[in-house]
Amino acid sequence: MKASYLGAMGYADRRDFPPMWPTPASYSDPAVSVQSYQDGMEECEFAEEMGFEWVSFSEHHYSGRIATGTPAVMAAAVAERCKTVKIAMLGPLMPLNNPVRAAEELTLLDNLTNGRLVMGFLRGTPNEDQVYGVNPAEGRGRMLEGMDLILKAMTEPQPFSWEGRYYQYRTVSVWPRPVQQPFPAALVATRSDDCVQYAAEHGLGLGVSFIPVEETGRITDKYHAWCADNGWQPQPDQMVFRGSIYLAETDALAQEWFDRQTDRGRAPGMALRSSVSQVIQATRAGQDVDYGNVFAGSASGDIVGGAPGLTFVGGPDKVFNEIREYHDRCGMGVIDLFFQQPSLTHRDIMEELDLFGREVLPRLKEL
Amino acid sequence: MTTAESPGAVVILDGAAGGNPALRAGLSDRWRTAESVADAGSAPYGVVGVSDGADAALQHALNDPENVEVLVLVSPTAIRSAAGHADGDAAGLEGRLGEVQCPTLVVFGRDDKSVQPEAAGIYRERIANCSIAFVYDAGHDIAAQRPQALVNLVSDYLERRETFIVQNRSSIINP
Repeated sequence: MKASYLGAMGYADRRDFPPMWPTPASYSDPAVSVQSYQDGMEECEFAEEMGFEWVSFSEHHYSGRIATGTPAVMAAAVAERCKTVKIAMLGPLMPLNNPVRAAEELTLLDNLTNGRLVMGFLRGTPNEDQVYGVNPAEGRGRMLEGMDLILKAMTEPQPFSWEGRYYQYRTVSVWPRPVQQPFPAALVATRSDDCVQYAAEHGLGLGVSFIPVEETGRITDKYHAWCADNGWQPQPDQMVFRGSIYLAETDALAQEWFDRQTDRGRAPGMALRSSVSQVIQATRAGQDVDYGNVFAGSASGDIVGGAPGLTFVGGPDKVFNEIREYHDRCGMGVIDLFFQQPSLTHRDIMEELDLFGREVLPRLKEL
Repeated sequence: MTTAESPGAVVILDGAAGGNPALRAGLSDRWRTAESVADAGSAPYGVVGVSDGADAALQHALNDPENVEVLVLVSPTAIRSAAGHADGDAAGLEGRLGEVQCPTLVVFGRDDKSVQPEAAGIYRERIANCSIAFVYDAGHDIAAQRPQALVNLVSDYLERRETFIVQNRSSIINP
């Protein structure tokens, strides 16, 4: 099993953020921000040194918790520092992005890294539909068409027109061609049946995030069955689970830290005004919204944009065994880990990476 | 230069699988449509061929270059084998693609399993003025699966030929 470090590039003083989304830009001090990106890149380099085989990036907006709204820019910077790891774009948010632009960024990254790119397609969290003004009801359709257009743009050798449901382009001719042929290693990060089926039908990998092992297993069971229906089975590198982690020397120390987070009332997550989150969820579900009932929702609404709790908390043995469950039960071959919990400093994370590299990673590699 | 009257008529040649009423209805809103070349009249005309009807359309364009003003091949079958080469009668047409003189649009359904992926590129490389288009969420029978998308695409091409790549719809939200 391989380990991946999620290059979140969190703002160093994120512990002071209010539990809301978006985080006002007034919280961003450029001096702190510059240092935060330097720290984040140092963490990526150290993760590579400790034996992580992937570094991943994820598109998230309007918050310093995962401060990579344009992940391709961040990936390009880290790719120059980390010379051997896979650069995993997990990934561009399909409903938000121009698929042709996304294809151009991805093929350029595959060239810059000489074929080290892994690309993942995501729909994004509900709040992020609002970033570029996407109708939440159209997110899934945009994701399915966006993936299809990206794959076509990477593989069609002649200029072409695209007559889609959501996208119409009369001239598509993406440069450069990807190093990995016919297209870079790709997966769909999803829990939804239609997107899991798309992955199975197109020979793409699967990514699942932040949910318990049994729930993950129900998704991977379906994925494996649909892959078999299409005459193939995924390789270990095509099965990725993303979880958040806090690793300490002992279970007791890890639990003590975790209890302190809860006591502070700052459990991970970001709230959106409740009236807005209700409308987003209803619109995504295709339900009619009675705007007459929308008055003044509280500022502390549903958690819609953050990591819903921690997946792995403990000492090395406990964390190893918890990760192994995802391997044994679900067939996960890559574990993508989010270390940058809000209360942790850069030094804390470097120490965690050192401990993970010494005590957990060697055992994962034997799975 | 394209005018509203050009082409004077559009000949729609269906494939053996049947007619394409949605395409015919959509195009007849703007042009005089004809079922055969004989009905097209004396002025230069456009030809739209669907599936194996596209082979016949291609044949007309080769045989009557003076009068075929614009050509649209929808889900053409002239190139369909795994090696990217035609078999049977279509083989002769594939070899003559370079002789097509009029502006040509070749349309494929993105999910058309009967057409090899390299086919589109072969049309575009061999026909001097050729555009290719993929219709998302459609297989071989595009007219049935994405009728409005096909009508809009073909209409735009019949009117504007290769300049159809230029966006001419306004994107102003609040003028």
